[in-house]
Amino acid sequence: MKIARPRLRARTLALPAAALGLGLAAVGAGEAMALALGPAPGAVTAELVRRLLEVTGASALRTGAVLRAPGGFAYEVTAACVGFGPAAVVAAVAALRSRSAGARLAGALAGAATLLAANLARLVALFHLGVADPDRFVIYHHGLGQAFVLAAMAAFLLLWRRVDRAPAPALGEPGR
Amino acid sequence: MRTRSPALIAIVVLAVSAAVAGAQAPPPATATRARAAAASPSQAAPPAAVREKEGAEARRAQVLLEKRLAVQDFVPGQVVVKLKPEAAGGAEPAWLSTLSGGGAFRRTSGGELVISLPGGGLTPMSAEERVEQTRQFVRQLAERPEVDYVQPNYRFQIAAEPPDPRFVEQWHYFARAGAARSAAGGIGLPPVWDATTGDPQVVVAVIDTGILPLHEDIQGSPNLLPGIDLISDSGVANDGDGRDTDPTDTGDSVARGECGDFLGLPVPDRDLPSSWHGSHVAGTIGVGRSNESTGVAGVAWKVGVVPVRVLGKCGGSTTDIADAIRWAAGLDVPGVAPIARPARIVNLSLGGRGSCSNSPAMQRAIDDAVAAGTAVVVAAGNEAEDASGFTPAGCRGVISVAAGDLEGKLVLRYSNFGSAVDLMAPGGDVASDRDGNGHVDGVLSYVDGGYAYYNGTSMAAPHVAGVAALLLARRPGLSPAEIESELKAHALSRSPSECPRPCGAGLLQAGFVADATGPGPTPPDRPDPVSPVPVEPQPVPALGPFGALVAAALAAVALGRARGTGR
Repeated sequence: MKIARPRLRARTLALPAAALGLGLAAVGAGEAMALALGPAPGAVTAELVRRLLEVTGASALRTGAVLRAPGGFAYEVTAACVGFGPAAVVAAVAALRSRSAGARLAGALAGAATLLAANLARLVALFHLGVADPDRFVIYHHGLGQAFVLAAMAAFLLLWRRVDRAPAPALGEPGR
Repeated sequence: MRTRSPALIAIVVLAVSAAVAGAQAPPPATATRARAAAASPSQAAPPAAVREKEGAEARRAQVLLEKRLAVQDFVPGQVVVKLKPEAAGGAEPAWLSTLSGGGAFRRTSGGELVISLPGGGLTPMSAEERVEQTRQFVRQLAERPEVDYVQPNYRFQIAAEPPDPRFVEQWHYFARAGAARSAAGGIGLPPVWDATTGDPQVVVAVIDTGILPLHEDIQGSPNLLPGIDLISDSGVANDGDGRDTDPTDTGDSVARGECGDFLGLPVPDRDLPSSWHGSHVAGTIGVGRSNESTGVAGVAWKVGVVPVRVLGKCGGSTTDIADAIRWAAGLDVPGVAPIARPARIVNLSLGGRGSCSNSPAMQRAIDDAVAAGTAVVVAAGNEAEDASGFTPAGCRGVISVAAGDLEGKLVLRYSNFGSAVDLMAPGGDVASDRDGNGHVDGVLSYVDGGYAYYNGTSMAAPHVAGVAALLLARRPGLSPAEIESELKAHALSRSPSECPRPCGAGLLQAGFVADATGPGPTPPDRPDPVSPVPVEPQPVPALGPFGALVAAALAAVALGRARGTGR
C-alpha cells in the first residue's frame, strides 16, 4: 500500500502534463498548418473580415492580408491570426473525449468551425476598436482579443460536454 | 358670450396683418423662391416697389435657371434637388415621385435628392430626348414652392491637357535664381526642405481619378493612406462596381463617341488613352517615396495622401464630387464609413464649364468643408478664359490656381485667369523647351509604368496643396482662410508682361515656409480626429505565447475531466 502512493502521484502528474503537451502541440500544429498554406489563409480571412466590416458599416481596404481603414489604421492577418491554433485545440479535445466515432468527427468539425467564426468576430471587433481608439489597440488586441478566444474555447468545450453526455432521444419521443 | 377687449382685438388684427405681410414679403433671390411668389397671383397686390423688386428677382432667377440649363455637360436623366426644410421630411414626398414618373431617389451628403428619371420604358429615349427631359424636369421643379434649389447633375472633367511624349528635370521646384539649379518659374523648394520636409499627420485628399498603388515610386510609400472610390456609376468607374473602398485608378480611356454626342458630333472626337491623372497630381503633392533613389520628388516628403476616386470614363458628377469633398473633410456621407483622419487640404484638379452659381450643390459642399477646417485648392481650368465661368474654379472659399510656365509667366496658351484666380503656380508648357534641356517644359510626375510631363492648371494646383501641407507641418493651427492669405502674401507679384491677364497674387513661392514657426492660432474643431494612427500594419495573432499556454491548460483540464469521468 505504501508503494502505491508515489505511483498514483506520478500518474496524477503525468496525465495533465501529457494533456498540456498535447494542447500545445495542437496550437503549434494549427499555426504550422496555416504557415504551410502560405499567404492564402491570411488573405482569405482578411477578405472575409473586410466583407463582415462592410456589413457592420465600416469600410476597409484589403491589400493581401493587410486591412486598412480610410485614414490610416491597419492590421495584418498573419498565419498566427487566422485562428487555426485554437480551432485545432478544440477539435483535438472534442475528437479525443467524445463517446462515439460519429460524435468525435462532429465535435471536431463543430469545434473548428466555432473557433474560426469566433476568430472572425474577434478580428472585426479589433478593427472597429483600432479605428475608434488606436492608442489602446495593444490592450484590446493582447488583452480582450485573446481573452475572447479563450472564452470561446472554454464555452465550446463545456457545451460540447453537455451535448455529448445527453442521451439520444428514443423514436417517437420529442427531441431534447 | 364674453366681450373681448379692444386691446385683444387689436392684437389679433395686428397678428393677421403681420402674417399676410409675411406671406407677401419678397422671397430670397433664388430661382425657386422667386418663382413661388410669381405663381401666387391671387394674393393682394403688393406695393409697386416690392412688385418691381420681385419682378427683378424673378427675372434674375429665370436667367440663373436658364444659365444652369444652358450648360450641356450633365448626366442625362439625373436631377439634383434640395427641398425646403418644411417640405424635406424623412422620405421622398409623393408629389415628387409622381412628378418624376416613378424615378429612383438617392440622398446626397448635402441632403439633396438625386432623382434618376425613367428612360422611356419600352421605347428608350434618344440622348437628345433624355437631355431635354432633364431640362424640362428642372424647369418643372423650379416652379414648385417646396423646392429650395434644383440643378442638373453636371459632369466634370480632369483639368489637364492630354499627356505629351524626368530631380534635374523638375524645374518647377527649383529656386528662381542663385542656385546650382534655377528656373524663373520655380517655387524655390530646396531651401525649404532643409527646414522641413512635412508632417505625416497632415492629410491631403486628392479628389481625382484614383491612384496607382503599384507604381514603383508609390508602392510601399508611407505617405499613401487608404482612400475610397466614390464613383456611383459602374460604367464610369470602369471597375465593375459602384462605390467601394478601393481607390485604384483602373483607367479612364474612352473610345471616340463613347461619352455620347453633342450637336451630332461624337464625344470625345477621338480615342483617348487613360490619363492616370490622379497619380500625377498626387505625385506632385508627395504621395511617393521622395528623397530616395527612385523616380521623382514630391513637394512634401512627409505627408498623408488620401486618394478619393471620383473621375472615371467620361468624367465625374457633381454629386460624387460633392460627397467626396465632404467625406475628405470628415463630414458625414450616407452609406460611406467616415475617413479616420480628416484632410486639412483637398485638391480638386478638375472642373467644368458653367458658373459656380449654377451649381449650388458644389458650392454648399465647399462651404461645409471650409467650415470644417479644410482648405480647398482647385485648378482654374485650361480654357484660356475667365475662371469665374467655371466650377469649382469660380466657387466661393476655394484657392483657385492658374498655371505658370518655366519663366514664371501665365501660360496664355491654356490657363484660365481673372478675378476668381488666387494664385499662379507651375503648370508647365509641353509645347516648349525654353531651357533647351531636351525635355519639354511640363510638370514631371507619375503615370502608369513610369513618369510623364503633363501641363495644365491640374498640375499647378497640387504645387499649392503641397506647399500648404508643408506650411501646416510648421503651423498646424492655421485655418483655411489663413492658409490662403499666407500663400498669397508670400507670392511673387507679377508684372503685366508676365501676367497679361489677371493671375491673382502672383507666383507661388515656398521659401517663407522655412521661416514659418509656431502652431498658429487654435486649430479649428475637427470632427472626431483619430490620432496618432498606427499606419504600419501589425499582426493580430489569435493567441500569443501566454494565450497558447492557457489554451493548452484548458485542453488539459478538459481531457483530464474526461479521463476522470471514465471517458
